Amino acid sequence: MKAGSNWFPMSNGDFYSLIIMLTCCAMPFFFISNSSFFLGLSIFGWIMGLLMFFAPVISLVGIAFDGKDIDG
Amino acid sequence: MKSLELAITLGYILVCIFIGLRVSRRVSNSSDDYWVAGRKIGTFTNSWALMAALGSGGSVLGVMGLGYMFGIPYTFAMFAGAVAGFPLAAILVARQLRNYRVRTVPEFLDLRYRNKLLNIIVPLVILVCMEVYVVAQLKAAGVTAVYLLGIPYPTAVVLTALVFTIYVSIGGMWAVTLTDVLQGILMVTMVIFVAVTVFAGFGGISATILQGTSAFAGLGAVADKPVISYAGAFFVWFIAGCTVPHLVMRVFTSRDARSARLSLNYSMLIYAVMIFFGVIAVACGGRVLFPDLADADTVFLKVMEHYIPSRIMAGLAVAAVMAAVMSTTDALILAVASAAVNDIYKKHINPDASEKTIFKMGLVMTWVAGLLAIYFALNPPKLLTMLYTAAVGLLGSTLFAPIVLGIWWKKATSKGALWSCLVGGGSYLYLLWFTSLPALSQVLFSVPLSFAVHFAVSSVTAAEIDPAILKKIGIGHKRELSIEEIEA
Repeated sequence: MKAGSNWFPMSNGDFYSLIIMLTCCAMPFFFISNSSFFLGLSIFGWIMGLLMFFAPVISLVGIAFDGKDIDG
Repeated sequence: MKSLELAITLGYILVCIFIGLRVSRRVSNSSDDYWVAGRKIGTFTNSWALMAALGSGGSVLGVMGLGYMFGIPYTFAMFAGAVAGFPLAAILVARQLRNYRVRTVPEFLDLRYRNKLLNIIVPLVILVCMEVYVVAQLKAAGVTAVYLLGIPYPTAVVLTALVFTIYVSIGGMWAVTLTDVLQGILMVTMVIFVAVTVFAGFGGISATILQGTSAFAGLGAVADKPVISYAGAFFVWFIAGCTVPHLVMRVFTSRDARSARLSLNYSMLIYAVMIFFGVIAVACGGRVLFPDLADADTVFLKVMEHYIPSRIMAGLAVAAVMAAVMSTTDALILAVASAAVNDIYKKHINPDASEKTIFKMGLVMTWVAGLLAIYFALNPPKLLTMLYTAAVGLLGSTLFAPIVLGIWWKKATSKGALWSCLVGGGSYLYLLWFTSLPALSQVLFSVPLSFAVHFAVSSVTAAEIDPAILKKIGIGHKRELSIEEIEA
């Protein structure tokens, strides 16, 4: 998010990890009606389970890239 | 009464009190030490403390019961919201709240908005919501002790509450942090130990899942609930990391902003491992071994008893469950005392209070909150689960928009925040009590409404923004602060 007149700037690392994370959070709900199963567990269940690991990792990657941005 | 298990649990309780006594000298120096552990907590310690504060009795008992009853997908949907909510807090609020050097959420709202009515409403909402949360946890502790130790419910409630009130009152945030680390490690170790034992018994993880889902097809399927219910369950906890005071307070204790952000993420990786493997093992194992449990919440205890014949290990497992309850409740009770002392007493009753007076008031309020919790937990309201869920949803609906927009939007005004807070909280309660929306879905309407009101009212009242306040808020966004900026 670039520095504008109305918003405080967000670093690129944070901005992209926020967008990726929100997308990852919304994505499982598109599979809620999917009737496929893997090892007896619905695809929705697997994606939600994996999201628990992905979300912190995405944010940690964002923090790692944070150092390359300009302070607000 | 199970004497060996009781002895191990009592031993664990004594360790908690000992930690409180050890750190009591450290917190008597300043109120910053009492409320935010001197802002010196490192990443490793804070990660475990954060994980333990979120991982309540519900995480160890309730989540397994939920998985057993409604299936793994529904359970993962609920808890993935909580896990994703912490990284969200790391991005949206952690650095700024840590850099402002405040002690509580209302203190930040005062720094940003300077609104007298907001300064009264927010601490009161926090006080009520957090006390309800404490009572719910205390009831869980009582029920657990009755089942596992065979002691009467009132004795269990009073004993548990007295223990954490003692160590919180004398040791403040230092005691909460150090005991939470111990409790977190104990909790995760025991859940993983049980999970590994179950997987070994069934011949591997995939074999466990296949046998569990064969025994009960609903275990792996998406439960027959409206999509809005799934989305609401996810969203309530997704925004909790930014709003629930006993979790946000851990950000204030961090030694710096980067450490706060890292610990929010590390804590959730630990939590994810515990929930993911714990739920799969216990829900699947439970469905095969105990297919018709009347009370689903006992499934973890049943599976544990089946796989852990050693009484010493069983005693440690009891201590782990009690640890889960106490690690959340101690942080909650400190949040209640903090709201009462820092946001109401110091701000509205005695603004000239010395550090020593604030410290003494903290001690008194911790006991008042603890004794009130005992009173309500001994006679718990019938709709306690509804009240507790409402408490988390109410906090999110009331605080999420004012906090996030206050940090990021330069045009956010004091009147915008006040109306956003009132409309968000009010609409949530209306939807909860006077409509038949699916459980937990109310936040899907109240939170966007709160944002819309903030945008609308702030746009109309934009002229009132103080440039000096905006400058301070801007400083909080920086990664590194100079000495002059810290002092400012």
